[in-house]
Amino acid sequence: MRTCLEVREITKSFPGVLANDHVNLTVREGEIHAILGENGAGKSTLVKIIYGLYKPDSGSIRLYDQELNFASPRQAIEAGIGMVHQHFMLIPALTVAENVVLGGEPGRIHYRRKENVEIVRQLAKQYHMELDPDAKVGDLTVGLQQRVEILKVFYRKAKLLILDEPTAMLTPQEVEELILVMERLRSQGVPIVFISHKLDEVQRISDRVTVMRAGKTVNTVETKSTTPQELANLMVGREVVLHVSKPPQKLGEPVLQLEDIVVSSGRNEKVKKVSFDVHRGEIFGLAGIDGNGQFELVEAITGLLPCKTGRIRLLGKDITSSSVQHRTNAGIAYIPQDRQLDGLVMDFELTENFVLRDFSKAPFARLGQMQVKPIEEYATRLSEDFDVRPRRIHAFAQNLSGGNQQKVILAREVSRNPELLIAAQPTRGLDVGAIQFIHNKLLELRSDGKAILLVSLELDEILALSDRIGVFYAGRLMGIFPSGQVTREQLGLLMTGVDLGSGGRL
Amino acid sequence: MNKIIKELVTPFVAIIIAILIGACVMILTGHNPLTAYGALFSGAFGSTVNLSNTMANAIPLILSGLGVAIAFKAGLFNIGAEGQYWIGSMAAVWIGYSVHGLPPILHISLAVLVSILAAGLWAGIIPGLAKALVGAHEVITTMMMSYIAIFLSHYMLENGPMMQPGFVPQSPVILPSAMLGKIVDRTQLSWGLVIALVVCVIVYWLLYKTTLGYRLRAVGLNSRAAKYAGINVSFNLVLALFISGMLAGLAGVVQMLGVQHRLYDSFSSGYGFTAIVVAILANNNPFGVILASIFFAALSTGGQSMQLVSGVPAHLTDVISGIIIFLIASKDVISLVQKRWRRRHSLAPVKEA
Amino acid sequence: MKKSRFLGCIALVLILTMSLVGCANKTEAPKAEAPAKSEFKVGLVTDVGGLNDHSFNFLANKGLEQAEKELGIKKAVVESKQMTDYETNLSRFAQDKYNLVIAVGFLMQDAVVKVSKDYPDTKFMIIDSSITDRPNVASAMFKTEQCGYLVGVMAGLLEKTPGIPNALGKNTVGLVGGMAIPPVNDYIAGFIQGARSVNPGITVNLKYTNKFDDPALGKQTALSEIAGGADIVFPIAGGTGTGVIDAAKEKNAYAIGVDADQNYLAPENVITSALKGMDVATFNIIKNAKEGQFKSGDILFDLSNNGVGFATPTKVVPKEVVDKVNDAAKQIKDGKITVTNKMPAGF
Repeated sequence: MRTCLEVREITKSFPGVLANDHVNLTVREGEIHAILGENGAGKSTLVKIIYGLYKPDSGSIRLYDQELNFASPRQAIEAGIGMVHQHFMLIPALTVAENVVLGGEPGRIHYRRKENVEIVRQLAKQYHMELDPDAKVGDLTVGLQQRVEILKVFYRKAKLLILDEPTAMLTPQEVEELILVMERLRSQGVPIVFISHKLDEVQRISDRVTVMRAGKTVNTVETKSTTPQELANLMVGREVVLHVSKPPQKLGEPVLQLEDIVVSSGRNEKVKKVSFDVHRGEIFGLAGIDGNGQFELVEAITGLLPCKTGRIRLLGKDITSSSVQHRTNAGIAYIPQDRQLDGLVMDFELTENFVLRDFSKAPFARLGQMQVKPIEEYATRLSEDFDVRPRRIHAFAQNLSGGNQQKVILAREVSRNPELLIAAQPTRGLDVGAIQFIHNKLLELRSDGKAILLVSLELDEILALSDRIGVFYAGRLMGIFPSGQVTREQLGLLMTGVDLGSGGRL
Repeated sequence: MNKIIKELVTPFVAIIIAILIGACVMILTGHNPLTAYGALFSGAFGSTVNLSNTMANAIPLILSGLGVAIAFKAGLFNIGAEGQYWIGSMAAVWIGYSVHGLPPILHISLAVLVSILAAGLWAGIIPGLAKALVGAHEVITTMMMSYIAIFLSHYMLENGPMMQPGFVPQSPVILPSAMLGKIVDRTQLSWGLVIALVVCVIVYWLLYKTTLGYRLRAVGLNSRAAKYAGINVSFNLVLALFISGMLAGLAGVVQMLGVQHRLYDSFSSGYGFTAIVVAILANNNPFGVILASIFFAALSTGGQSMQLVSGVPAHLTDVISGIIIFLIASKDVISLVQKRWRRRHSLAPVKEA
Repeated sequence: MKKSRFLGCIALVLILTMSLVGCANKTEAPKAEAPAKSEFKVGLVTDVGGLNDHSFNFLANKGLEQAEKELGIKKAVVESKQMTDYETNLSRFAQDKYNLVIAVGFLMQDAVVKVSKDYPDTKFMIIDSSITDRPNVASAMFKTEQCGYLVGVMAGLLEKTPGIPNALGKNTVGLVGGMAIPPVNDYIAGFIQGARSVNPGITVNLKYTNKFDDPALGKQTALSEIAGGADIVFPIAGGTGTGVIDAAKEKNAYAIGVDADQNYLAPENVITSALKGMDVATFNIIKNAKEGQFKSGDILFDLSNNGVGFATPTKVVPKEVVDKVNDAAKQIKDGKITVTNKMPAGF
């Protein structure tokens, strides 16, 4: 097999950070090559250098026999390197065909629409991707939008495809379809580099995997000859426990009681008559595909959205029409699914973010004046307890990695000693180490006799942590199952609205 | 320290570029930029009198600039500081000439209190409530309210209830008991300067040291997170506009009681609009507002002397401030250029995805 | 957030435009080197209208330039950008030991009162505002009812004269006043007296716009007067007046300019202008001051010292008419005719 891309001894430093430290990478023709590493390991810097977005301090890159020294992504594209970014660069108002050719339209001054559509149709056929060239991109699912991005790359005659965290935004079904697409591309001889921090994906899809840690390439191994445990150890640099060990449950009284909750958001009823309880010492997992109303339900419980009808009770007290503040004080803690949009003020310092819930209470405020000392002490304590890095309490939230941002939220919510913790997608986009940390914290709380409502799009997470699992579909609860009495496949079907009959329902 | 320097870069670069472009204009029109800028500088700072007048000019800018800045901090663009200035001025002058028999301290306090309340309500009630209740954009509402205020003053002064007997459209002069004393004789510099500086410290304290400021900034930076934190977003929006209006109104009060002593009929004081530029140049930092205000005041005071000595029209200073506004407004362009340059030179700090 | 940023940008562009509009229309001030000590130095402070206002500031500067040429004084001019500049600019000149400081327009009255007290050794002159209690302030006041009278005579005669092209024959003239205030009504009172003295049956149609800066309103007002039979219009309304002249141009009527010679606005239609000699007044007061003859208090300018007058009429006005107007001027100077600034009954 010929070597397609060869990266030799690439070094790139930013002030205070050595992002890439003598990095080596060899990608062969027709292989799927994963770059695995935790957040901050230097994966993104490496691909950005390959793509011409950064200029390396030293080292060389070769594509086939050509020495590469890009000044801009445009040159990289011309040389045959195609990249699909984690966040898509598409124009929602344009059609698939228009998006694919954007910037390299057929025809000169006159844009030939019909020809364009035909070209894109052929291209989709050639790479076995089902796509309607005339569909508006804004109407497509995330998975299909990703295909448009991939088609864009091949329209520009890429010889090498780079996928940056391609599964981050996808549902499990879409991941499956993406894997199919990638395998077809491999069979056509297109080499693919894909970046990930998810072990199972790397294990399933890739032929070889290069593990990065702290800016260095630790090793490149044949995927078949390794195990997830081995990869995780390489990635983290120490022995990691991959499987959650759950202590036995000590079930207590109900903490949260929902009765016939109906929630509207905009014009639509997002939650339709949902009832369930969450007890002390239990993790109640709410599974479902995004957009089925589970997050609206969470917002109704936390008081961010009003309940149209129904009743919410916390420890027996009716809180249906209480304010957010009142609910917080009554013992509801909430880790929102979008930490940057809801959970943190990104331009606030950590000190300020740590007291987001309690900033107006003693000892953090007295007579309306913020008390710097107690706040700083509290922030320092929480940073240490939850291992927030860097350990600078006056750093801005936006300067933290996603994992550390999540730790700040977790620290803030858990340290208030709540009765009920609602965790919406608590590990979204985090790396192995951080996920492990957060899962352990949730289990600790469970042991402490707290009630936990876990809402996640990741079935594995639900299965690993929950004592009971509720499946949400189209605003309704499809059923509640004790964990262990339902399989992954059954859950997958329920999530798409297939009723399994009354069997197994509680 | 580093943070301060970083914040100063953009305004500083903008000012330098604007001054250079101004110099080019002077050369093209046959003037010597060195003489002109020298005259501008000495006209603004060269003597006690000049310095005092510059500071006097800076006072209303500081106060209204603080008003705009505090609104910005809460994520609101109060473009109507001009109108709030007029409301404050009208109320101050009215109290100033119509209330008799009060000792100065009470008279001045009364004028200040009534005027800033009026200006605060002017900004808070209609634009504030409209924003909070139906989401009407404050740029539109404050701007429109601004026109209403200005035309209200036309009505009051042109044969209206506030016109002094005679034919000149102006109000009566306020009573001596309502006048702020001068710090430096024969200049326009009144004790209003002290008011402005104290208010600046108060605004800083309010924004960064109180729960109220915490709420305002949280709402401004991320209203969703603020809502999540249990902060009443709507109420704080109204409050922010109210405080903003109070400060812009205070600018009017201090100008009336300290300098003008009566209200003239005019289309614009100019302070309310310059205040926006001041706030932007200062990046909404209260102490930056002082510096930016002095800068624009110096342009205005020094510009007259520049015209006198070098023959460069004083309105060239408008060109300079125009360019500064343009550059600051297109700050993204400047930072883009910086980024490009830095990326090429491998200096940029990077956020790992 | 995006949206508010966008609106923010628009707002900034607006502000930028505003500040640029401010510098349109302004010409540069004449150069002035720092004068030597023995020289007689005169400083002129314009009001916010600036030098190119075709009126007060422009004429005062004209007088100043004449003084520079003929009297050899050293001059300097500062255009005020805002109201608060008045005081600063006046005191700057006083501080720099200028011998005479000229303030243009009644808007500067307060500033002159203040600064003249601070600098008792400096002489001040203010145009159009009466300050009588300061030994170092001269107020140039104009008897505009006299020039109003003369153009009134001209208009009254023209209405009676047959064969004037485009005349409507309704014996009607239209007046557009900016506001019912003395500087406007002085002209109007004089005009009506003059017109009636030669043409007792004349109809004078008077309307006030209550605005000095609205040409569109001026035009509309004049158009309605022309439609009502007026074939001569006389605006005394500042900037609003240009709209009146515009209306005359559009309807082929005649107009009489005010303050300065406004013939250039519509050479075919503006037959003459009632002149307020601010240039003359400025020159005279400078001259007196330089010669040590400075007098404080109201300095009256009228026909006898060429402080007011009328611009040379165009060809439309027959020579007999011009002669009669000149005759009336002579009689006023001789005291045979007295023109009051009292509005006649019915107005």
